[in-house]
Amino acid sequence: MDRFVIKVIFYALAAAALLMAVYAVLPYDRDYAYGRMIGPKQHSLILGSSRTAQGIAPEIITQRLQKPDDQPIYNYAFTMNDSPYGWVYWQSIKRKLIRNKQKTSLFIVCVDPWALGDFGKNGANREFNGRLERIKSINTHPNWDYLGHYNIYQSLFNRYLHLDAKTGRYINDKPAPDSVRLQRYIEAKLQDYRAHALNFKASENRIANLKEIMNMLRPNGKMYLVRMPVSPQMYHIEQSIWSNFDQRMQSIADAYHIPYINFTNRNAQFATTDGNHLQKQAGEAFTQDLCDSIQAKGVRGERTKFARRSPN
Amino acid sequence: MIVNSIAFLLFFVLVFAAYYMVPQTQRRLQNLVLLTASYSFYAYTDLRTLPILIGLTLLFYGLGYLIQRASDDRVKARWMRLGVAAGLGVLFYFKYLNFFVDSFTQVLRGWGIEGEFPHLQVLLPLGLSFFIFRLISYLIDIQRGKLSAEPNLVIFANYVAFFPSLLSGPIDRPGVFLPQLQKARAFDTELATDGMRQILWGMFKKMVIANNLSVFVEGIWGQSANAGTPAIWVAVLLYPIQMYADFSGYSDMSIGVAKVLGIRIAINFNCPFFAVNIAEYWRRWHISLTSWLTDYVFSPLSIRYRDWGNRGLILSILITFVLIGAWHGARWTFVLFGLYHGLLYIPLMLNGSFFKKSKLKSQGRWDLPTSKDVRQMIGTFLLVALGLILFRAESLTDFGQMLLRVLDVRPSALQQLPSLQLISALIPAVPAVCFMFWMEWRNRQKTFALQSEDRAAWQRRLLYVALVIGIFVFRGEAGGFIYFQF
Repeated sequence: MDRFVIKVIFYALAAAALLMAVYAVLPYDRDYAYGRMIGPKQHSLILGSSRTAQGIAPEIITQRLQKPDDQPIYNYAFTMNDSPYGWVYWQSIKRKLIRNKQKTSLFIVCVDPWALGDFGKNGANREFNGRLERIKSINTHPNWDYLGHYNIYQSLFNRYLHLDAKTGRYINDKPAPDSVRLQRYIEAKLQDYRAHALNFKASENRIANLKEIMNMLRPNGKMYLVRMPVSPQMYHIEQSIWSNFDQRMQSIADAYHIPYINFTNRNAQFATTDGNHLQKQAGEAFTQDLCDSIQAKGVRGERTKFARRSPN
Repeated sequence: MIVNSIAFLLFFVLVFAAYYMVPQTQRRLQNLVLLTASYSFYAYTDLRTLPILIGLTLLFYGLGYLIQRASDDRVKARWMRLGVAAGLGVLFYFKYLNFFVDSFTQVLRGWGIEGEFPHLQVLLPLGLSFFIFRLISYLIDIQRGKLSAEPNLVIFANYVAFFPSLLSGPIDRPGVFLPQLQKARAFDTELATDGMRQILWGMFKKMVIANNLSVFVEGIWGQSANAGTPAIWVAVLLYPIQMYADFSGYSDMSIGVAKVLGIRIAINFNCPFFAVNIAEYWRRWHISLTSWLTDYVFSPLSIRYRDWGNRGLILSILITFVLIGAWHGARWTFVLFGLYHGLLYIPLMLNGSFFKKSKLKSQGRWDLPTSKDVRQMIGTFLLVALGLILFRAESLTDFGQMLLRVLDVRPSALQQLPSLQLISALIPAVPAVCFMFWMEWRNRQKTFALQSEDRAAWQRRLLYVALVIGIFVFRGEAGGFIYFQF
């Protein structure tokens, strides 16, 4: 039996050593989350769902809004199933954040109805089976906790989507198809959202967790509440499920004395890949415009021409 | 707790240590360790239903004793029938009662009678179908005189609750299993090594092939309204392979774990896709279930109806296969699935090839199958794939919709291709499938495909390490395709 046990241990160690070599050589940027869980803690964060993960280019914000010695802002947005506002996302952000006594941090908190509502079979708990709940260790490289749970090479052959681990942005390099095919694709994808809309419920619990997150971020620096542009069709769906969403967000922003920057009146100006996620160039253009808005606001509480004035 | 999980690994290391630390003379203690492990395994999975497992074990232990003790054959038969009725009654209550209530309600509604029968909130004990069948075969074998009642309760309880095969089989026969527990098991290096090889092979099939294929197959069926017909055809053809890799992979892991503990359990699969007709297929697929139903259902029925000639045989086959279908779950589509396979036997019975066991021939330098065998294998595979559409459907309406999608040959449907993201899930799976079939063909005379002692030691070791790396790097994630969110 001793020989058997020694043989098993030998094979296990040999496989582990080879695996470490494999993980050191093969790229991991095709996995949408691993790269975000191997880097250091961050001062400044961009939060939200996949719309934010793809649509905001952190390097543009760093260039335009941050000082040279500030740690660059990091995109820590995942998906509407992994990072809706809730306990799980809150705790994950806590693990990723460095407290900043100098109060020079910058936070872009992107909101949309899906991230603050419940839908689907397991609506109120959908993130409890996801990566942010399962992976508690998010600042180590290699991240064995993550590698043990998930196969980061499942999408090794994913041609277009890849994660920029340095900035956290999830980039879609897929060239835009012709408009007819694009419309057909958008329509097919929006069917899923229409199905979600059937049993959608705005969640007070998620709003409460959003406020907890904002309470946590506030002492570290400046915070901006942002609603990103989407396709007009998607906006129509979002209006149907939560018609006073903007009023609600405005009231939260007012309570925190921060701007609510709402880009949905410019939906038609930004091209999407699927009705929801901005195309790469559109995301960069949007980020530039977002920086314009933030710079125009400057001091907390100022409004720009882009924000809708709506009654509380 | 599933076999390919970290929790099971930790559990098994503890069990292995405790099991073999017991001195060889202490058979009873070793069996007690095994029983404790089995009950702990079951309790971890679902503590609430552990009393049902223990209660049935005690009941059937007692019934076995009563059958053994009775001197009159009629009394033996009575106790046996009581036990079988109790077992089937428990199975019916937990697994089928609500199904029949719902079906009856629908029939009444069809006749215009409105009414709602109470829907019971029952918790289905995991592995129920498997351990009920073990218990039933125990009583029948005692009544038939093939077996003596096991006097030792711990040994009997181990037969019922043996943790490697408790939740998903194979369904062991008492005549083969019980004698192994009646003597202490010393560590057998050769058997344990073979067991580790089988675990590795099972993990490869389950985690690389089955999980990756399920990403594609579930992805296509999940969005079947938008998926093109070519993608649906591919999903239909891959689903049998996915099912085989999943089920046989799990069986291999169970058998391997048992071997490490020095116990041999029933084999469950024997390269079913090399079958040249449907009868051969069922002799190679889920062998422990089909042989159980052959011995305890088909054989008695065919004897009973022997005077009806071929019609009696056909009726026996149809009943057996309806039961095979129903065993899988409480849905009419499962029953129809069984009936479909039963009907496929009819041509074989009529042309006399039902009982013939085919011998696969190979040809040429590369030891390839003959073209005739390949044609027959493909034909059998296509029949199986079609039947699995029924198996997969949630309802008859669902089946109808799936069939319409398969038969949709409009140009717009034929031109629609699946997303590259879905196709990328196939990239690790397809070579793995080809490798699996190549290994299985090469080692078709062995009990499982990774038994390749004829190869040099360094080649075998390289293969094992490559499989381990492959499992980690290319394992699929069971339960959906996350990139749909993008």
